[in-house]
Amino acid sequence: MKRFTRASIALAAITALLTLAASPALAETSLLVAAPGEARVGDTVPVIVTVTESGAPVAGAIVLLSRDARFGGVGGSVEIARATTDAAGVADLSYIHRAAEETTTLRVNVVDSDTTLEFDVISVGEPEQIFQSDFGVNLPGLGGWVLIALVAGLWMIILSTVLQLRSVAAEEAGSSDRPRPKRRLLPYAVPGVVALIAAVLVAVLIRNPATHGDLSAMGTADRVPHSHVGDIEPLSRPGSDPNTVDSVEGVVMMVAPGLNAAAAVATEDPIIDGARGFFGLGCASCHGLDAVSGVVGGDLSSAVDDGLDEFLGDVRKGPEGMPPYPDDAFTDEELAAVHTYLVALLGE
Amino acid sequence: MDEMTQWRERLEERTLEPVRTTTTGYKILISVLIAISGWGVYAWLFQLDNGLHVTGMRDRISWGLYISTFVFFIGISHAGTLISAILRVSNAGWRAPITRIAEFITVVALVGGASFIIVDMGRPERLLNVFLFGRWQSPIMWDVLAITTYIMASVIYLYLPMIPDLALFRDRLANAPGRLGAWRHRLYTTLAVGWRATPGQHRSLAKAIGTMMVLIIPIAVSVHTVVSWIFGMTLRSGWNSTVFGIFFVAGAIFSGVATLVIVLVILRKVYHLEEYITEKHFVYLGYFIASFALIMIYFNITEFLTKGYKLEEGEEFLFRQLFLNEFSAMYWFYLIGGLIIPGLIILNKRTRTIPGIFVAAILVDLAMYIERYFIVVTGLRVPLLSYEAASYSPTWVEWSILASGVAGFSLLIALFVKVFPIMAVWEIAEEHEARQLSAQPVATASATSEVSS
Amino acid sequence: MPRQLIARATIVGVAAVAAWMVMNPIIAIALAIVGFTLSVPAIIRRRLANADDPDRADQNEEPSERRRFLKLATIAAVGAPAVAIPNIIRSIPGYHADDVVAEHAPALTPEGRVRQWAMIIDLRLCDGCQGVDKPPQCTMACIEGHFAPEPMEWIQLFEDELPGGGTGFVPVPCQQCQNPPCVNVCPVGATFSEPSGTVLIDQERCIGCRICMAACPYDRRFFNWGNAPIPPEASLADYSPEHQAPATVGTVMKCDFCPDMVRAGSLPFCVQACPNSAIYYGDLEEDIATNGEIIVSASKLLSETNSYRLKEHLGTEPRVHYIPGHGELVGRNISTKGRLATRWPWIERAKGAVTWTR
Repeated sequence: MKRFTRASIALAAITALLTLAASPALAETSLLVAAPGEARVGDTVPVIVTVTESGAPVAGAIVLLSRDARFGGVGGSVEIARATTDAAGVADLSYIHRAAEETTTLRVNVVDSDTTLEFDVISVGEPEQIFQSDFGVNLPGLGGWVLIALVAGLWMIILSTVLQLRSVAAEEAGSSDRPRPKRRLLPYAVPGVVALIAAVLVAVLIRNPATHGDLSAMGTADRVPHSHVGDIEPLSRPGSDPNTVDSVEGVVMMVAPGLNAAAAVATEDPIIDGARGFFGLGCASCHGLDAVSGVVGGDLSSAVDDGLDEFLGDVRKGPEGMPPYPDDAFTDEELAAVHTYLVALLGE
Repeated sequence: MDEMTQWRERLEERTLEPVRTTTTGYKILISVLIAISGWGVYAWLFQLDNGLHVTGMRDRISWGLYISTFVFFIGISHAGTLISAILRVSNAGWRAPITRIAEFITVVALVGGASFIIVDMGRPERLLNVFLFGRWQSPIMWDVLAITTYIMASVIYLYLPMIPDLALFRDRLANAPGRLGAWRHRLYTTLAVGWRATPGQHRSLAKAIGTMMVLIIPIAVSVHTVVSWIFGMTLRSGWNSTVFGIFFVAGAIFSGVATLVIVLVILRKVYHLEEYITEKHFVYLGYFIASFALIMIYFNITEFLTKGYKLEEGEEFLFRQLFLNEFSAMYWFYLIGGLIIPGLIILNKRTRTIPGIFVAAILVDLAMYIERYFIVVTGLRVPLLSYEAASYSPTWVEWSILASGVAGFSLLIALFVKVFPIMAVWEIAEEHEARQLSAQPVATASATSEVSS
Repeated sequence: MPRQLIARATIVGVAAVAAWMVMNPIIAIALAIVGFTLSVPAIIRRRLANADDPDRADQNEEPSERRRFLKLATIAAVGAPAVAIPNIIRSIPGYHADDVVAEHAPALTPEGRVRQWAMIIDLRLCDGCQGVDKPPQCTMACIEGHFAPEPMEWIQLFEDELPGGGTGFVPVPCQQCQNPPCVNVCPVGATFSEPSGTVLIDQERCIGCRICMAACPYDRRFFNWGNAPIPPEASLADYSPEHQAPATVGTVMKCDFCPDMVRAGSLPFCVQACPNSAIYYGDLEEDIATNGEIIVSASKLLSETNSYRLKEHLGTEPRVHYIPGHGELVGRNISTKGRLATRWPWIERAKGAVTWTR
């Protein structure tokens, strides 16, 4: 994490020694920034700022380092570091480079002054993960195979004892004057069962599914943003199958109290489709079950009055803090059905 | 030698007796046990239908009677191992008449314990997932491995020494009339795998038994150790303990021997085995109980002193509920009535009789069940964040399933007695002969010493 | 004697191969070759011994050799594919948690690093919604957004005593441990650590043994004891471990950290709903966090406010951080105790479902 290659920084410092005079209106304050132009992710980047006023160093000035960023629907300036200048007017604003993009534009400014200076830091080298879970102590050589060997060994010994049954059965013929008895099954069946169970246990141990996602095995392509991703085929859950009358009954009763639930499902009513969309795509999670009283999302009655086109537009661009949902999140048809449902629900 | 033959004949008759005759009392007992078990099955079906909501368990005390019973049953299963394997390894001759019953308790208790895990599962129909997606890093998986191995090993360890006796049954019960006789003949013929008591067969069998009796001891110890690790691998106040493994193993042997005493007393009375299972056996088992009571007292002191001395966060709550508040009455009963009093009963020469030891054994089993219950419930009850401690009381469903578990345990033992040889005839005979032989030189030696004096 | 030696060497060899097979098939093959090569001199020696030994020589040499060859060939024919057994066993679906995760590849920064979700809860801003005179809005939004059955409060407000009297509120979601005790103990891998650092549960694999609930030191796991009291509409939602709706009887649920919401460019329900913007959600990898109002550097906020994590001494390494406080920034009076009880908006609509207590 704190791997900091002096060579690369030294090289970068030469190329990116930036000097910039402040705007003429406030000619008194000027900033001199010494920072490398390139950095590896995780490096500590030295940003040394010298503040002068008409050529004289300013002591005690508060200097901020920030960058612009956008996250979770919120954008703005992010303060990365802050420092106070010493007697020589120098402030050390070193920070750990954790940029998410190739080029990061950093901004230096002095508090209570308009003096601002911007410069770029380019990420070099392969992007390396800074944070990853690697807790635990790994004793070299120890692993699941110890348990496998133990279980296999134990069961081998158990198997060896039940194999004695064969010798017991084999002696029978020699011991008696009776006619040779028929071949017995048990001395073979018991070891067979033992071997089978042993094989199952060892197979279970070998299989051992992973529970910690392996970062190296993950693809690099990001997924389509989707509020409620649900591509897995759901297993049958009692009472949860959307196609059973039981579960959509509530929806149907809410939308059209007189409607026969079974008939509604069978006829593929667009309102039912819309209800599926409203609850299944995740609208109800924010806007509430009745689409007017969500804790997070707003009242949808006004959106319904505006008509389908405006409704589609709103969803696509995302008004008032709602995230925009592009075509690949929900199709026009899905949204149209949701709109139909909302009109039926809130129209009166 | 005629006396010897008579003695042998009497022993065989005594062993065959439970299989030959069925009393009305037995039939009533079986019907009652089946009824109780059936009621438990109904309760379980009711639970399957409604979810675990019908139990008293909730998020904060998420394990209860089922897991306690699982731990208790697995504990009982140590009876067979200790009596049978350890005594066989140390070649203690007096074990012979009681090994068979001890081994059978092991098998039945293991099956009972394992089934309580299934009863406790929220989705028992997904049991196969344990094999499809089993992770060896999980303590539950260690349990699956250890218990499967233990069940298999103890079934084999029950079966192998039974082969000569099964052959005896095959020969003696073959002429029974009707369908029952034919059925019995087939069963015993199959299970006896052609045992004719040849020297070669004895050699093979001795080899197999010799391996199993050594192997089963570490398996049994590992089983109860990993059962304790289900609790020991968590960060909870009452459970986060390094002595848990050995503490559980000691408790298991303690309750296992007590259960063996109870079952022996009943079977001895019902089937008149007084000649073979004598007071000596109970006194020896009593000594086991007394010494394990001391060991348990020692473990309780180490466990609670090391925790209570420091009184880490959460431990104070645990101490208060165990020794002063909610659970104190029962917990003191466990400490005094379950550990000290049984020990005193056995150490006192006047109470060291069969009824006395029987009472001590019942006390021990009750106390050990309470201890298992408290380990589960009090550990979960300690609040992890700032909220009021939850409470847990089992519902009728849990009590019913517990009752049917106990009934099922008794039922299987009652049925076993009806089908299989209750005592290891050949081992008793071997032991008897050995004693007869060794008795003679001793007699002459004492005679000569008398002369010289 | 040499025959016994060979037999023993073979058993040891086979055991070693079996053990290593699990680790690495290439090593297994190498071992088999080495073992075979080593046994060749022994075979030759035995052959010479047989030639000297009249008893052995009497026996028909030809078929015995052939039988031995056949035996070896059979072992080879059966054994060679056996090397592939571990891979075959692992190829049965469900081996990797990726089977679940792959459907929801982790969110990445523009240059390809996996985002590392974290939450910072500023307790200086949390007044338990006393100021708005409502039940805790984070809990309410979470319940509504996830159709969480009563009485599950995936993010729950606890009222802690302050050292000098009075109380402060602490909202506690799943702590998303980086060394998660629950994941360690799960027997079937139903709960797993996702590359973004979150801990998720696959309710379609969970067997309901509840050992994870026993293992969780924060009491943040909830069990569906009965038929969950959720609205019938919830069954229309598509289930995914990232959005656990609808609830399934007999399985464990908990806060999923809403990675699906953040991927969609939004924020978790609790973050959006907090009237005082006390909850920050962010990415440690890019070092950024937002409470829906302002955007800050996560590391700087954590360091400058002396933030702490719950039960740090347990070594669970949670991803939820707390800034110490008791609502002082929103003017809360510390002696005003209590919060309003959480309501489940559909409680009269969840027909046939049973409600249970916590």
